[in-house]
Parts: sequence; structure tokens; C-alpha cells
Amino acid sequence: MQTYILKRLLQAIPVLFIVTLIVFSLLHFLPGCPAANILGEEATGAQIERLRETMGLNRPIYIQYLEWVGGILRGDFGTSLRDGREVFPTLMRRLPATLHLVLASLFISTLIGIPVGVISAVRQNSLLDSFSRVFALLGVSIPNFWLGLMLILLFSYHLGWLPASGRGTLAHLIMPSIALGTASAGLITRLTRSSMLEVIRTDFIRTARSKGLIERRVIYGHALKNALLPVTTIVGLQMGYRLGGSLITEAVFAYPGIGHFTYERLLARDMPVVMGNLFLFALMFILINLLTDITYGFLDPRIRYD
Amino acid sequence: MEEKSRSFYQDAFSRLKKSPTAIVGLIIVFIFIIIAVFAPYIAPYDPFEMNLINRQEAPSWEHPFGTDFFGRDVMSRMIFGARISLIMGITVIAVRAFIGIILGLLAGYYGGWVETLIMRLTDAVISFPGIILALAIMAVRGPGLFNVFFALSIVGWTTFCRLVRGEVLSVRERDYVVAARGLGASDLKIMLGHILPNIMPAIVIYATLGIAAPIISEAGLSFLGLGARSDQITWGFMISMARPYIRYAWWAITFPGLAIVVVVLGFNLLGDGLRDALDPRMKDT
Repeated sequence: MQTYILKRLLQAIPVLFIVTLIVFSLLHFLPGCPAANILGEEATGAQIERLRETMGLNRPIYIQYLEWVGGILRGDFGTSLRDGREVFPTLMRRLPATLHLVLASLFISTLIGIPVGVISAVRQNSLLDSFSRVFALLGVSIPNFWLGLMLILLFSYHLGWLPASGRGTLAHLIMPSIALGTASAGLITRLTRSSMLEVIRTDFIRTARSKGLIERRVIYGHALKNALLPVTTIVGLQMGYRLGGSLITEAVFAYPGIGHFTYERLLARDMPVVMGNLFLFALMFILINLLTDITYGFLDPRIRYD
Repeated sequence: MEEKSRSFYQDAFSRLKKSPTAIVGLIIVFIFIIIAVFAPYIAPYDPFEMNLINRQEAPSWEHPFGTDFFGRDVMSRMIFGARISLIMGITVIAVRAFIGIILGLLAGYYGGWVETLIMRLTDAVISFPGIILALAIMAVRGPGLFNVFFALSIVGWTTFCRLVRGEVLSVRERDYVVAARGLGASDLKIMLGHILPNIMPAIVIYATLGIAAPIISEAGLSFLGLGARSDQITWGFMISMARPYIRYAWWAITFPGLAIVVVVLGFNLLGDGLRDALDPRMKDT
């Protein structure tokens, strides 16, 4: 097990290295001078020159890269071009709100997706199965921002049950996490269903049935445990994807998370903040995947050590 | 050889015809393509024509989906909006598939350091939430539909790359590839002439299922105000402009959103049906 964990950790290093290269080259290798890009079309030559100076853009490119990476290793993501504050603490202050949202949405989608998927598989080809397949497909087809607006329309403006924006109480979290979690719920339903169908057909389930176990024990005691293994991977992956989706959801609900903040700064071309967020999300994605793989290794002894 | 490969597709087509979901998907996609192509002939009103007397009128016989803040007919605008959504979905997925196929072929065929390099690059690109990376690219390049296309095209190719590499690995040592190599075929000829046609069904399935993602992403980016300009019509942008008046004119938001849902659902249904028909191995996954 230790070798497996160590190997996965070592694999993550080159990936992280390429991630830093991509984030860095966003600012420096896309067409146009970064300083001019940030200032926009009306900037004067002197303004551009001043910004080049403050951002250190006059120095050789590899020095700039090394300094940027060195900063990141020390938790220094640079300073905002708009308010001069340090980027890292600013992002960290807003991260918990986003994590609340993402975890809540994942909780809802797992809570819906797994039972619906299981029932759908157990009653394959029934009316219930058809309903849940349509539900799953609709879930992945609805844009989360539009679903959010529809929820606001119904539950805030029409019925007046839930607040349309902001953060603070559990009620604030309900609509954003449903809007964000619906796609995941659809995917988890589909995966649980197909994984369950596969497991039900295996020999050990036939054995369990033939030794006279009641059907409920067979399904929930034996089959479910095995069927949920691949689902853990997808839940982990979904957490990473929902981090990205949270940006639009936060914009819809004026939810004060990291995505909403980055979006505001993006419109102002505050590149250190955008790059910082980008790097942070990629880092979190890699860590979540690492944890998922290791968890998987613990849960399923068959895949260990190579 | 010729005879056999044709029967594979005939076989697949007959299976496709029997799948009700695939047929529904195909019909939806077909209708939207017709709407997009013949928009000027179908739309009852000029989509840009403002009518300040009829501002924010509720759905009626004259305006089935109501009018927006400027008195423009929502249905006519939705009909024209189908154009950009479909073009965006199809072109972005084509570029993604192109990049993914090339990198996947190279990685799977040559192996070694080429493979390591490409697969680590894939791992890295996958680590970014696609929409955030696209947004960051747009932050640098500025708003606009072309930049949306550019940003979306270079973030989503990883699925294709992984798929193609996996498929190449599974066919690389098959007899027909070894035979072609023995006959002195060049690497390029083997990859494009022998390996690619054999993995094409899988690519078509992923491409069809993948069209949904750029359509939703374009809508999202236009909703955030980073895509279309005011002289362009996209569903996401319509929702974005109607949003301040959501309490007074729900129809200007609800119907364009429904259009996105239906077209995305259409492509997903078609993709599911294609998968069951072309690749029975992948059924139910």
C-alpha cells in the first residue's frame, strides 16, 4: 500500500509542473503583450511601460517563471493589480464558502443518484427505470445557470420560500447546491445503474441467491457494496468539476465564494487573481484525485500496487 | 474486407433504427438543424426589430414566447439563436476531436517518452476545471464569440486523446497492423489508413455525446457576458439580457433555456443510441 501511495504521489509531480507551465504561459504566450492586454486598448505607451515594470515583465521569461513558481511554493501568489492586496489570503478567505457549496451539491447529488440508480437497476426495464433514466439524462442536459434562475423564479419570487441571493443560513445553500448538483446527480445515477447491472450478473451474486439469501440481503448486502466502488471515483472527479461549475452558480446567486470573486476580477483583467484561482483549483483537483485513488486502493484490494 | 466493413455499418444502422431514444434524438437534432439553416424563412419577425410599444409582452398568439425588454419577438430570436449554438457545438467538438486524435495516435503508436509527455500533458489539462481555464483564456484574449470558440476548443480534447490512445494500444499488435507494417507501410499510413478507421465508431460516439458540453459552455460564457455582442444572438446571451427583468418577464428567460435543454437532450439521446448501436461493448456505461 505504501508503495502505491508513494507512486501516485510521484506521478502527481510532473503533472503539477505542467500545470504551472500552463498557468504561466496563459499570461505570457497568448498573442499580444501581457501588460497591454491587461490595460486594454486605450492604454498609453507610458502606462504599459509602468505596468511592465511593476509586474517584472522586463526580465527574462525563465526568471519570471522561476520567481512565480518559487512564490507559489511559499504560498505567495503575488498581489492583485486592482487593490494591491495579496492574492493567496484573499482567495483563502473565500474558499470555505465555495467548499460549502460544492460539498452540499455533492451531498445532494449522491443522496439522489445512488438510490435512484440502484432502484433503476434492480427494476431494469420497468416504468420506474425509464423514469429514472429520463431524469438522469435531463440532469446532465440542463445548464446549471438556467436551472438556478428557474429555481429563483419559483421558490423566491413566486412562492417566497427561499432567499434568491447571498449566504449565511442553510436556506441560502439549498437552491445553489441543487442547481450545481443536478448534473452530478444525473451522472451518478447513470453510473450507479450500470455498475449495479454489471454486478448483479456476476457469479458471486448468483451464489448468494442460490444459497437462499433473501433478495434484499443480496442486493443491499452483497451487490451494492461492490457496485459502489466505481461510483467513489466518479464522486471524486465530480467534486473537481463542480469546483469549476461553482463559478457560474455563484454568479447567479450572488454567492460570495471564490468563483464569484474571480469572475469579478476577471472582468477587470486582474491576472494574478485569475492565475492564482486557476492554479488553486488545479491543485485541489489533483489532490482530490489522489485521495480518491488511494481510497479506492483501500476499498478494492484487487487493484493495489501497480 | 470492403464487404465486411459495410455490413458492420448496415448492422449498426438497423440497430439504431430499433432504438426509440436514438430516433427521438435524431428527430430533435434534425429539427434544430432545419431551424438553424432556414431561420430567416421560419422566423415570424425580424429578430432585431425593436417595438417599444410591445415591450415585455406575455406569450400570446402573435408572440408565442412573448417579447423581450426591447419589444423583440423572443421566438424569432430563439430561431436565429439556434445557428450559433449548433455551429459552436459542432466546430468546437471537431477541433477537440482533431487535437485529441492526433495526440492520442502519437501517444498510443510510438509509446515511450512521446507517450509519457503527451499523457502527462493530458493529466495536467484535465486538472483544470474546463470552464475556469476557458474563462482565464478569455480574460487574456478578451470577450467575443471567436474567443469563446478558441478557448473551448483547446480545453476539452483530453477525452479524445485518452480514448484514441487506449484504442490504439488495443489494436497496435493486431494482425492487420502487423501485416501492414510487414508490407512496408509507413507509420503515417498505418495510423491513418489502418488504425484510425477501426477506432472511428468510438470517436463518433464520443463526438456526438460531446457536442452537448460546448453548447452548454457557450451559453454559460454568453450568460456571463463574455460571448456574444448585442448584434449577435445566442440563447445564453438572451438569458443574460433578460435576467434583470426576471420578475416581470419570465418567458424571455424560460424559453431560450428550454431550447438549450432540448437540443442538448437531443444530442445526448442520439449519442446514447449510437453507442448502443455501434459499440455493444459500451452498452449501459
